[in-house]
Amino acid sequence: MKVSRGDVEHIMKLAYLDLKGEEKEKMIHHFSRILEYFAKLQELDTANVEPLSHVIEESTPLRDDEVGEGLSQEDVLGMAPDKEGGYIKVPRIV
Amino acid sequence: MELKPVIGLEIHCQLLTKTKLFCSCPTDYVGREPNTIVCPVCLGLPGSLPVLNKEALKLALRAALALNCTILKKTRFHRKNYFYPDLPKAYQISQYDIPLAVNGYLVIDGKRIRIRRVHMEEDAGKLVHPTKTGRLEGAEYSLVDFNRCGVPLIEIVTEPDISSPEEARNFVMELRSLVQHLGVSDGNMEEGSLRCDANISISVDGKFGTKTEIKNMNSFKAIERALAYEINRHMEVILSGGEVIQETRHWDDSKGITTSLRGKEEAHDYRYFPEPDLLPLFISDEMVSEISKTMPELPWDRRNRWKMDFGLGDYEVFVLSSSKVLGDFFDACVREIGKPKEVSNWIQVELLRIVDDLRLKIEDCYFAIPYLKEVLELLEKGVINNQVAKAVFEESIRERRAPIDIVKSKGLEQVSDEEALKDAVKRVLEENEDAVKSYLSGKDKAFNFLLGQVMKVTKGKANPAVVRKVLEEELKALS
Ligand SMILES: [Zn+2]
Repeated sequence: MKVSRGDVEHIMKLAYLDLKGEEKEKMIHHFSRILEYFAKLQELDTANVEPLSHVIEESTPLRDDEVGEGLSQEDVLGMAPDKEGGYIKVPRIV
Repeated sequence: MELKPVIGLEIHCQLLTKTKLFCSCPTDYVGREPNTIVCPVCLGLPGSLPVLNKEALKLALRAALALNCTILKKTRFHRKNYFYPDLPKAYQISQYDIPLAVNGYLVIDGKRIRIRRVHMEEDAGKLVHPTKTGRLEGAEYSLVDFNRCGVPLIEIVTEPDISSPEEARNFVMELRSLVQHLGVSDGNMEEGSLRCDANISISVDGKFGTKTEIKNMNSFKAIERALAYEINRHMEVILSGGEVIQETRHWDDSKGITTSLRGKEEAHDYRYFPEPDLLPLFISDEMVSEISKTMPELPWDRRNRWKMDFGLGDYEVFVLSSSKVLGDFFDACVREIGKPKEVSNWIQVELLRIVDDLRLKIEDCYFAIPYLKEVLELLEKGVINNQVAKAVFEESIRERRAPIDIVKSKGLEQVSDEEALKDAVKRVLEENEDAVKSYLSGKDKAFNFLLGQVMKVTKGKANPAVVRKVLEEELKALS
């Protein structure tokens, strides 16, 4: 299965990545390898196998609706590269 | 060529839980300092793990059951991946291939609108754009508040069964009333606890057309206007031989138009995959039956009860059930006063207007129930007439003063004594010779004018029925 340059560029856009020409070539190669691996898996007959998304067949734990301690505003803003008046400041979006 | 609008809705409701969907941060973000109710889970910090809120699950199930859905026994969560500054994890935990519930319906004016699915997901944060309009365009930078991040939502998706803007509005009104009655959500569109997006297309001779999605409809009125606008736009494109482009459009309420969001949103490619931090979710029969058993009275049951027990009409019960607080207030009034028909009428005609004028909330008007009771008694005993009763009721609410006090201190008791009214009638007849002449020459309209003059002279206190009788007699004597 061959991945095209267009596929890689689309994924780059979705992942907000900026790759150089040489890196793109490398990605085409990596992506193709991954897909080849899955193509191999798909050779198996799974018609009678239940799809499995989680290894443990148990229901996810539930918690009671009780308020707990969170982080302070200072801690939150301290992790951000830029802030303004209690908010996290981010660059122009469009 | 037969053109028909085809509308489907996607509605998000914030659930009335104390804490967020996957962490124990509180959900009451309105009016809070930014970034003060967040934790490693809702900020998506490395090493944190989400744990599902049991109450959120119960509320979601309650809504799904009330919408006549089939609850799936095994469901799961997915990651919906996209980059946006209001989403700190860069994915939203949502549901994808196996939602919580499917195949329901809600009846609107006798028509079943099918519900395709109901699923749980988490809300995103809030962005503030420091521009004059508050909109994103032209902002040099944006500010992020993560307080809303992780607040539990249900998304309700309909089949494209809705065929007019009015029906869409009625659907959302009924759904809001439902989630309020269920205690699932407060359904406040202005504050964004209930949000509605629409998919719309035009079918041509029964063949489906291209869809557009409309966002940013923040009121019932906006839903109706935006859909009417969009239907027209589609029709014009189709009738001029053009093709509708599949895209997302933004409703601009002040301009009354939809505009394309093309280019601002990357084509939807969310690369969903099963959330590895959560196990699948098994819904037991016990849980479902427990929730079914504790279902509160639903809006349609309430309306039926009002019709059957109180003899109210369709329109009356529709207005009274439009919000849960109004329906609760009406029920409280009837418990206290009885007389459901009169009470319904007084609430709808007088109280809603007064509440609007005085900028009150219905839920803060319980103090007025004894006042309404007293006004209706005074009216029934003939102590005051209808006009005075309305004015006294309004004043009693405004001044928080018992109606009987107002009536006594202002001397508003109705005058029903024929002799006492005869003087007033005679005076009016003397002072309005022209009207009398015109009445006597056959112009019946003049009678009402004269009646009005007598009411005016008696400062509105006269018993209109007695005035009518005396006036008729006196005019007869003149002819
Ligand atoms: Zn949190």
